[in-house]
Amino acid sequence: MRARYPDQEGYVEQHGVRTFYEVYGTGQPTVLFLPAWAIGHSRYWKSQVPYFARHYRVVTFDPRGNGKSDRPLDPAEYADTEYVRDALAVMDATHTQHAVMIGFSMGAWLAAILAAHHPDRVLGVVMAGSSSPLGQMLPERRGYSFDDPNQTEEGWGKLNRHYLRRDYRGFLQFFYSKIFSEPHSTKQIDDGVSWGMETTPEVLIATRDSVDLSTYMVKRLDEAVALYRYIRCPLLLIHGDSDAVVSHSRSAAIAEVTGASLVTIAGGGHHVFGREPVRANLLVRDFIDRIYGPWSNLGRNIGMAGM
Amino acid sequence: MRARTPMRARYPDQEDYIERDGVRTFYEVFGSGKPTIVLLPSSPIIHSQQWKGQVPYLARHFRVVTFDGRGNGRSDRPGVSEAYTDQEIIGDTLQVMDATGTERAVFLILCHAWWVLDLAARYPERVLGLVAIAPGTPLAPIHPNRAQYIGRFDEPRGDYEGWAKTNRHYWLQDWRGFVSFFFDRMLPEPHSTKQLEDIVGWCMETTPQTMLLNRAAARFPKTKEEAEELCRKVRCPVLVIHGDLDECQQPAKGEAFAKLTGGRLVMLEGAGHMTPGRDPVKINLLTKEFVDTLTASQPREVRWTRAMSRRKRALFVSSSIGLGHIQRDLAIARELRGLIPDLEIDWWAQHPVTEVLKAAGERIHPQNHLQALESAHWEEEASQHELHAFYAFRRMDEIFVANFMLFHDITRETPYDIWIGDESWEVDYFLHENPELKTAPYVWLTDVIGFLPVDPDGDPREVTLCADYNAEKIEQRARYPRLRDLSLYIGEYDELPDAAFGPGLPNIREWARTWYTPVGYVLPFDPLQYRDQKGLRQRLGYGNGYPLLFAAVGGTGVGRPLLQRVMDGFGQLRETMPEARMVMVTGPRIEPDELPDVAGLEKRPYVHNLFEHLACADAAIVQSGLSTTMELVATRRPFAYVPLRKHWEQQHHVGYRLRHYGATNRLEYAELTPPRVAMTLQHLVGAPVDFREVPRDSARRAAQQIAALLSR
Repeated sequence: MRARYPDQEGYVEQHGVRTFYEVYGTGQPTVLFLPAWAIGHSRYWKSQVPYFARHYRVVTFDPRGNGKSDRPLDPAEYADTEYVRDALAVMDATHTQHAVMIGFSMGAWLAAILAAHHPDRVLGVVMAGSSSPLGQMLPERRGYSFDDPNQTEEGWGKLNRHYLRRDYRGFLQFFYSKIFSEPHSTKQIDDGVSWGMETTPEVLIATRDSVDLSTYMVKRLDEAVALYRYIRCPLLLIHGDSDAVVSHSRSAAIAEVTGASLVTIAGGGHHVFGREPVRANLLVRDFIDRIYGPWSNLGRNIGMAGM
Repeated sequence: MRARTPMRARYPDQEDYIERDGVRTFYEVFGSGKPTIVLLPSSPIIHSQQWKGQVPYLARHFRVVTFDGRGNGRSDRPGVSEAYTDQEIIGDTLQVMDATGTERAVFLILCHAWWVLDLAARYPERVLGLVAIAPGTPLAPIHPNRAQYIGRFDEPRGDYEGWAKTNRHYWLQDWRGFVSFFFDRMLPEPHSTKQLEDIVGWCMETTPQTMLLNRAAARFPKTKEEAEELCRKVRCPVLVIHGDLDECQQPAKGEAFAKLTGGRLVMLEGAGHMTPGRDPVKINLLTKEFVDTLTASQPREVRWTRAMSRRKRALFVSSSIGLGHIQRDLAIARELRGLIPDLEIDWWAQHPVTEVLKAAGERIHPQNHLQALESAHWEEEASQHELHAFYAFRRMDEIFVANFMLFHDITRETPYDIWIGDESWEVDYFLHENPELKTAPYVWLTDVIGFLPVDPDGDPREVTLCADYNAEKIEQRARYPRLRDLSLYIGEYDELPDAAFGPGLPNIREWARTWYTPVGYVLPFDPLQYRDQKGLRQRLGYGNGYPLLFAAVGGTGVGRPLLQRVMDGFGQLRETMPEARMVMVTGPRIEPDELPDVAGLEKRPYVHNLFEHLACADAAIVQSGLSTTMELVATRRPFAYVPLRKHWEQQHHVGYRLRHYGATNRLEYAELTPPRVAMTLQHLVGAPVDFREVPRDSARRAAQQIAALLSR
């Protein structure tokens, strides 16, 4: 049983690829929870939806490649820019002029693109455990290949197309144990593995093979910095200092180039919204109320004006 | 009581006057944050001190501008009615803003909301937001309590009972009578004596003549329709706060104000008109929350530690300014660490206690220095040997609010496992007033229960006030019995005064049996280690073979006159006991150089581990601070003690306790002539002592009680 069921659901379609979305509640503003990597889907936000739907309007969607969305096998369909188009299409379909964007991991990168390239659609952005071209890769992830067989299939050696095909569940088990690295996370890991099992290794391999904006910007850090600096709306960064998937240094680097505030969750892993839902929910609630206060249409303009 | 200006919890960073058409208006600026908050006066009846519970807190987060409205405070009192129109006040407000470089601001106003309404409607670019507390406008009828009298304000009457005091002739005849009555009705909350006293004092700084000029001045909006129109013109965010027992402005006015301005209404139930003074914590937090939503400020929190990743941390609030309490607190902390080895303790304390903590290598909370300094207040209060401790305590209301707000901020930032407060009066009081702010297990420790008057025959008001303060605490405890997770009494029940809290109130000792757990008197050392007086004197370099005397007055500056008298007495003693030597401990706040030199007498500002030295004494004469006297009892040295004349604790509680232990050489300050000092010391040297033994395990008992809240 879900704690809250959607008030509305539907699909948007782009070039024949269908994306499934859900809408909850009727408050203001709209909060759009973005998908992360297709290893999971909109149930990543199961601890957020009931709470935020009580205060605001919530929109979620499944990423192409998982959940109730389509699973094309052409890598080009999984470019970050395609996900951004899906987000905008879902906003249009749900009559969402603008929204607060919440993303974690790869979803945080999508949020950054949305905020930088579509400022009129974005009221504010929360990025947790941000995947980003900025900052460092975790030391323990370095030196492994995705394409060629690794010398070891221990640890991050498992993030490899050959291993994925051979022991998909083993890979999911490993990957989710890294997402939820905090002790006593068995339920969160079991959830994650079951979401991962809803798609296939071939889909995840296709997502890895896409060549997109992030592929480009990894090589052009100056442009990545410029992209973050385009963001004009309020921005909140959250990152666990024990994140075992994406280094905390990535959010620190984003904070440095944007001047945004970074909330560090000491002892926290990659998906703090899943593992520390209460604190994460309250942090985001506080953020939204600050930018979009009880004085709704006034709060934002006044708040941002020459203080 | 003689009026005096108590120490302020926060002083302005800038102050000056503006002048408009020859009328000078005094303003003050505090802090440098953003945005600026202008706290408007409800003048001329009162002045900017009305915000004393707000300024220190708001100035820590924002920039605060206050001014005295014309007709009161340090501003001019023009003699014509035209000088008091709304337009003049608005003009003053704008000019104060210009003078302080304040382009726009959030406004706080109590009652006189019509000024800001007009200002916000006409100068929207200057107003970021508005907090209207008990806003008075013609949006709803005048309160029925005095509607009938306002129409006949100018008619002389036969009697002026009750609201009939709302009358020109009564104002002129008995201004104090009017404002005492009026503000008593504005403060329907029980135990509001201090707030009422403050306000009446401010009212007495103006005159009924000035108030009449103000009353005759032009007002806008005058009608309900005008007020409604103005409200609709307000474009800034509005927060309305209204007490539902307000007898000045009916709550219906606040409701209408919020509705018409699109604002948010917070109704304070059980509250009257003067909420900034009577519920300062709530007003402060509501204001802070409101301003934060206007400014898209950075989130306060930049780091949050998962609950299971947290270290075990205690906040130890050691409130006393004397150096005695900190020794017992350190003793309890040592025992507590023995029981909970991984416990980290942050200390929250005042100078000079912080010096002791630093010397002990303890961690002092990094924001500790932001506290308003209590010891400065006590010194300011002391005159001659007459520190009136209860009145001085009572005048700390402003410091208490300021320091509680700081405590609140730091405990929101750090989630402690436990708060331990040794006589942390402000924490205990405001937690009971705002119980929803308690977010950790909380332990209260004290060695004194109940205020007892020091001059019951000469000062009946003191009797009433002490009883009122005690009654309030008794009611707070009864209403929120689980707010304190532990109440520890530093002593046994028999050491408490066998006296009533006040007329019609319970007996202190009996009440304590229900509400306190006794842990015994806490010594900071093991007295058995200090029984070899000769060896000890050798070790500390005093040597033997002459009478060694001590005099000490504790950690504040108030003991200076006592030291002078003891010096003179010691001089006389040397005439009959020429080999006698005296060590005089002046305390860190009295410079030894300020006292004359006397042969055989050594002055020291501070003696580390004073008890070791007291244990060497052949006789001592001390101010009856609890710690010093009990150290003498524990080391079994003959001594006489001199209570501060108007110090309730020294006059009553210490006396009861010392009698319990068999120490009875009490000297009254008035009788303390130099010959008396000499005679007393002569008598004490070599006198036998028959004191009751002081328990040696009290710190452990206290720590065991506290540890039970931290582990099982």
